[in-house]
Amino acid sequence: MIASASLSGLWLAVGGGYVLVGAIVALRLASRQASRAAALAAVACWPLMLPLLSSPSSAAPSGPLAARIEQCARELRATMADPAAADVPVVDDLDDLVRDLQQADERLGMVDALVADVGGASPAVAGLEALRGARARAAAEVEAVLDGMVELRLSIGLRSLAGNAVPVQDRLVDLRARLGALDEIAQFDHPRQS
Amino acid sequence: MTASIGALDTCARLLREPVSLGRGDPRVSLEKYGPLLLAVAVVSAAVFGGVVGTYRGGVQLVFAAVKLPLLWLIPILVTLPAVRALHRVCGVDVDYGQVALAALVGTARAALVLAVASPALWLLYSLHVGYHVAVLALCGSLVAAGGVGLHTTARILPGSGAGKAVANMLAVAAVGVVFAQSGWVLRPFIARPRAEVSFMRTVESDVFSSVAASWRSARGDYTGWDARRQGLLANPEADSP
Amino acid sequence: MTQTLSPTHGGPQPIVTVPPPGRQTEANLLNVPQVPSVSSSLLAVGGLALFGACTALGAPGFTAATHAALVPVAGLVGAMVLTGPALVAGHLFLRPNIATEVPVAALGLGLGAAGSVAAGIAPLALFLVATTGLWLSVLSLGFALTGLACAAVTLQALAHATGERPGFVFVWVFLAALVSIRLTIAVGSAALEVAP
Repeated sequence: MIASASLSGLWLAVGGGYVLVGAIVALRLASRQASRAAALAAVACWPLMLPLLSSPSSAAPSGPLAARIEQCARELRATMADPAAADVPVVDDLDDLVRDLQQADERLGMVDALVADVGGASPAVAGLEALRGARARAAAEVEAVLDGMVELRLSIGLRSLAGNAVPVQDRLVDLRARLGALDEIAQFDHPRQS
Repeated sequence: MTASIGALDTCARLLREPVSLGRGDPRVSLEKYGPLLLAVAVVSAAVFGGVVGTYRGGVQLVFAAVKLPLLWLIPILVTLPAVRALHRVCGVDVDYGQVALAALVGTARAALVLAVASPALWLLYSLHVGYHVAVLALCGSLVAAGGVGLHTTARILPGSGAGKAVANMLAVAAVGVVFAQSGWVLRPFIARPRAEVSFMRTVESDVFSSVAASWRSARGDYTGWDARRQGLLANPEADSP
Repeated sequence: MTQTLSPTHGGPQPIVTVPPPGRQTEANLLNVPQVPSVSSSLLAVGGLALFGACTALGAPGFTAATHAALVPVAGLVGAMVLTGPALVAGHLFLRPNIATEVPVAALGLGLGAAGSVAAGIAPLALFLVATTGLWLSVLSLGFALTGLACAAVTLQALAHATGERPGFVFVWVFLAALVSIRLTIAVGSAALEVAP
C-alpha cells in the first residue's frame, strides 16, 4: 500500500481530517447566521449540511423592501415561538409567505433598476408610465401584506390575554393569496404575447 | 416544550407525509429540519442498536447502540455526490441540497420505522434463537427499513419517467454497496454467545467475498474463505504470524 | 425552426442548431452554437483525475498507483481527443445542415457528464478502496460508468440538437469505446501486471 502508516495512525488521520473539515464548515455556517443546531450537526455530518453554505437566505437583500420583510418575518417568528403563545401551531406557511414576499421584492428591485436605466436614457418612452404605475401598485400590495403580518402578531398577543383562538395558518394562507393575486394583476396588465 | 412539540410534529410528518418535509426551498428546509431529522435518525438507530445488542447483552448493547447510527449515516454521507451526479446525468435536474434533504428524510424515516418495530426483534431475541437466525432477522429488518428509506428518498426527489427510474436504480446500487460494506466494517452487531466481545474487528476482506463464500457453503462447497487484511485502513502487519 | 439543447450539467450554454434545409432563415443561421468553456472542460478532467487518484490509493506500489490514477483521464479524454474529429467530420459529410459546433458542443457535454459522475463517485471509491482490496474492480466499474455516462449524454445531446436519429453516431461510440479500452490497457498495464 502507498500509505504505510500504522493502522491506528491512519484511522486517526482520517477521523481527524473529517472532523477538521466539519469544524470549518460549522464555523462558516455560524458566521452566516445559520442556526446553532445546524452548525453543530455540520461538525458530525458536514456533507449533509454543505448546501447551507450557499444558502440564499444569507444573501444580501436584493429588493427595496428586503429589510422590512426580514424584520417582519423575524418578529412574527419570535412571537409564534414565544412560550406565552405555546398553543400556536408550528406552521410552514410562514416560510412560504416569506419566500413569496422575497420573490415579489426581487421583482420590484428589478423594475426599479429597469425604470432607472430606461427612464434616464429616454424619459418619454412609451410604457414607462404604465410600468411605474404597476410598480407602485405591487409595492403597495407587498406593504399591505407586511402590515397584515404585524396585525397577526398583535392578534397572537391578544389571544394570549383573551384566550380566543387565532387561525394563524388561515391568516397566513390569506396573505399568500393576496400576493398571488398580485401576479394575476400583473398578467392582466401585461397580457402574454402570442 | 416547544422543541419537543417540534420533534413530535416532525416525527408525525416523517411517518404520515414525508414528502411534505422536502417541499419548498431545500436549503431553508435543510436548515429548519436537518438537525432534527439527524437527531431522530441517530436516536432511533441507537434504540434499535440497543435492542440488537440484547442478543449478547452486557457491553455489546452499548457497542451496537453506537454503531447502528453510523451504519445508517455512512452510506448517505459517502454516496450523496454520486446520487446527485447520477440523477443529473439521467436528465433529472436536482441540486445538492435537494439530494441531501431527501436522503436525510429517507434515512430518518427508515431509522424511525426500525425503532418502532424493534420490540418485535427484542421478542425474537428473548426466545434465545440461534445465532444465524438472529443475524438473518437483523439483516431482514435492515433491508426492509432500507427499502422504506430509499422509496421515501426517491419520492422526494424531483423528476419522472425512465430517466428517474434509471437514476434511482443506480442510486440504490451505490447506496446498497456502501451500506453492505459499512455493515461489514462495523461488525459485529450481534456477537456470538461465546465469542470475545469487541467494538470492531480489523478491516479484512470484504462483504462480497464473504457472501460468495456463504453461497458456496450453501451449495455444499466448503473450500473455506481466506479473509485477508485488505484495504487502505487495514493493517497488513496483522497478517504475519 | 430552431431547436435548443438544454445544458444538463450546468456549464455549457444552450446550443441552437441551424434548421433543416429548405427551412433555413438568415436569423437562424446567425445562431452559432456555444461550445463548452475551457474551465468547464478542465473541471471535468479534474473530476476524472480525482476518481483516478482515489482508486489509485489502493494500488500496490507507487508505479501501479501512478498508472492507475491516469487511467480515467487517459482512457476517456484520450479517446475523445482521438475520435472526436471523426465525429465532427462525419457530421460535416453526412449532415450538412448541422452547424460544426454542434458535435463539438455535444462532446463537451459528454465530457462534462463523465467528469461530474467521476467526481461524484470519487468518495464512494475512496470508501471502498479504504475498506476493501477491490481497487481494481472499483476502478474498472467506475471507469465503465463514466464512459457510459459520457456516451449517453453525447448521444442524447446530438439527437436533441439535430432532431434526427443518431445513425452513424452509434458507430462512432463503438469506435471510441474500442480506442478507450486500448488506451486504458496501454496506460494501466503496469497497474494490471502487479494487481493481485
